[in-house]
Amino acid sequence: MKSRSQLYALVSILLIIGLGLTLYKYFVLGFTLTPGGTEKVWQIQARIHFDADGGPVKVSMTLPEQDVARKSIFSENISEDYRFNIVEEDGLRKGVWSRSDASNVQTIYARADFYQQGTPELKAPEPEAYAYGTLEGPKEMAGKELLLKAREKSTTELTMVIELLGLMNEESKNPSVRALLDSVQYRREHMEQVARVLAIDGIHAEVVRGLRLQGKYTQRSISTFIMVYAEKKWVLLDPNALAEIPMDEILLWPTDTRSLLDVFGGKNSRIDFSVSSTQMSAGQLAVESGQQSGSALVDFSIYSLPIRQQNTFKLLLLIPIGALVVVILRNLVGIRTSGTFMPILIALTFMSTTLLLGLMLFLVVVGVGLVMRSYLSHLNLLLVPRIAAVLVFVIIIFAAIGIISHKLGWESGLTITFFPMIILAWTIERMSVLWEEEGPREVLIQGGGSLLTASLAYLVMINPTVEHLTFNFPELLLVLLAIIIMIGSYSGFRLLELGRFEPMTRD
Amino acid sequence: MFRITTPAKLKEAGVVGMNKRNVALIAKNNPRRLYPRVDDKLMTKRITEGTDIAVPAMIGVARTQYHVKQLGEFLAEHKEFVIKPSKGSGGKGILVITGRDGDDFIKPSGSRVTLKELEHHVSNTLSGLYSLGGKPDVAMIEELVEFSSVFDGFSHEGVPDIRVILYHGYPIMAMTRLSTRESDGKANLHQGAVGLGLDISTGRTLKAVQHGQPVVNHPDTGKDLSELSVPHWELLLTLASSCYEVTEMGYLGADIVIDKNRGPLLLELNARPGLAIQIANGMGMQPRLSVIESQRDVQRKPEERVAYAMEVFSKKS
Repeated sequence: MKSRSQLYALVSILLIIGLGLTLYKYFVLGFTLTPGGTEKVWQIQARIHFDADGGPVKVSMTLPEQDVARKSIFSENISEDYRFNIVEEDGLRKGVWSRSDASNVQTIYARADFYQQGTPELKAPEPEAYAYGTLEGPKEMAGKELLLKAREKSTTELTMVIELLGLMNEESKNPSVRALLDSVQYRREHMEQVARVLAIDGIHAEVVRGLRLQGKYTQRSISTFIMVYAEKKWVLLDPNALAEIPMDEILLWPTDTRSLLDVFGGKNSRIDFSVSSTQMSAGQLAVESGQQSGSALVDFSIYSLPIRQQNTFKLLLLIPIGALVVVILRNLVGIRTSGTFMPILIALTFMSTTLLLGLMLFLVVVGVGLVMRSYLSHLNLLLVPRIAAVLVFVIIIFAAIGIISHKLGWESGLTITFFPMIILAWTIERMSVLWEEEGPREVLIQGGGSLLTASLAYLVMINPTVEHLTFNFPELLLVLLAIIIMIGSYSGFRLLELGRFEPMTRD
Repeated sequence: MFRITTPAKLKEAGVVGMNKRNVALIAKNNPRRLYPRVDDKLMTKRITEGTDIAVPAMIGVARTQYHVKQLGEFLAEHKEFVIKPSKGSGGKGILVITGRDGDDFIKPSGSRVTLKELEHHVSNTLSGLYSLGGKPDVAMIEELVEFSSVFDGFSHEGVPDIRVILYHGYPIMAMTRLSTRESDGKANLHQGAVGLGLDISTGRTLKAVQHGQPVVNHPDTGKDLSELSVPHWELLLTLASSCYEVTEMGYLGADIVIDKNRGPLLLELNARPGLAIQIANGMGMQPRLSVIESQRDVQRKPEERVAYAMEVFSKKS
């Protein structure tokens, strides 16, 4: 009984560690238990050009606003010649690149990935004062006139604002617009004037600047937008396209009159951005944020491996699941299989061929192989040469299936190559011996059992939730181990024995 | 057709399942290192030498290809013999010779085997053609058993052997498997052979079962199956029981044949005997295992163990 308590202790330890780590990752690190949807991740690359004077250089760029909803999961400084750090300056976050000496044309790259979590709340729900003051005198008159004109052509407050933006874009056509914009030089001032006109009508507006996140663009620049409090909510408007922009399609920079980019020790500085987006699974995002915050559990995990190796491990981590299915079917159900873990390898093959096609190919190869092998048994060959001969048969069958299906235009037949040849050769050999010794019935039982096990293992292994869990929570392997150990110590009846021994309970 | 019962009912019937057999009977009572004693028939033969355990007499062993060349000379005086692989399984590679015609050998079916063919067969055996996992093997040449006529009419083909299950040297259950046309002459219960449970106390038929269903007559010969009474029963059980001392295995199956002249002979031992014997006996083995469990502290000789078992395991328990 001592080994029994040892077993329970071991199982409990495994369960505690496995489940503990899983729950920690779930609650603290924000891993999800289900694969969930994918999130859109914006990859933004800033490129700064300037002509260096030949001495020390310091470049500082205002960084985009940080907010709760939008998370930066990754940022890096690609320009290795420069020292990079982030500083707070007068309440603004700035990225600062510096170098002791630089000459000629310099280019600095910086990259950051952003993703949206929920809908951003960028402004206080209720506006208080007008941000830019009000108009007076003739300008007020011109504003009123424009408002009247805009109102004629629109039905709602929002369409009126858009109409007004359109009117004020056409400076040359309208004397009122010219009056309003006579001293305006920058787009920003233009928008502030629009905001003042709106204030006449009691509409709050604010000028913001940001980077439009849309499609895939290179050489974008930060532009000016206007936010309007219309119909009891803040709406972001593109003054050029005269359209509403969803809040999650813009990356805002702090509203500040100071310049975005300052270069000391250089001139002719320009900045442009390229924007692109990718889909990333929610789980992947949790990992990347975890790496960003330096969690040791994430850092010392499979995620620290290169992507290619990660994919290999993704497959490897599914094998224990297949093993569990085999253990359950053999020891709890009582299904007989040919070769203990052969079904797992077949299931792995099914993952690249799909189930139905895989079953068909398997039956064809093993069937043809058995016919060929039956001839070999007349020759009384020794074991190893015999299996080697069967292996050659298998390759010939592979090639035949591949060529025939290709000629027939049935390309999926080529997936035959995913089958493990050695395993198939052994399966054919074993089935053939079984046929001779125990008869075709036993071959059907064990072959059918193997295929049933392989199919079930396959169905479990392709389940997205299972794949997600094994990959994102490798510590669940310990839980799996605990379950397998528990089943290993199970000495009760198997499911099929309830039928096998049934006659004995009849009296 | 397919009926199913509950684990509780099976437990009540004392049935031992595969998981329990593997853990509680085999893993606990049969240490791995002892397996060669039963898996290698030559080793089994060697450990029974000098004991009371009767086995078919050895004529010789072919160990090397050099021995193969000498076979013709070596077998010159022998008319009847059996050649079998030492590590064979499932009856593969067993060659039975029942007569001579000049240099040729005659099989029971009447067909001829030339010396060349016989040499080839032995040579194949040595290189592992019939052994488990293809390991190199040796070929044993044994005297032919002259089967007692007691089984005449009880079997479709071949002569059945008697399987005795020993738990710590006590015979707890016995059966014989009778081949049928359906089982293609094979003594395999799930292929349709008849399983005949034998009463430990008498050696008479306890129950006859085919496909789990009780049968009265042999399906091919029509023989009344309840008529079987195995001769030399106590001697046979003692022979089986003595194997405990030489193998030291707690859970053991002994396959025994009855020779017309020499009586019961040990054919082979099995360290992983199956559970179908419960169906053939129509009872679970757990109650009997428990009885023996309670006798573990008592030191008994094989004869005493057999006497004890024959007394306690009469039909009803």
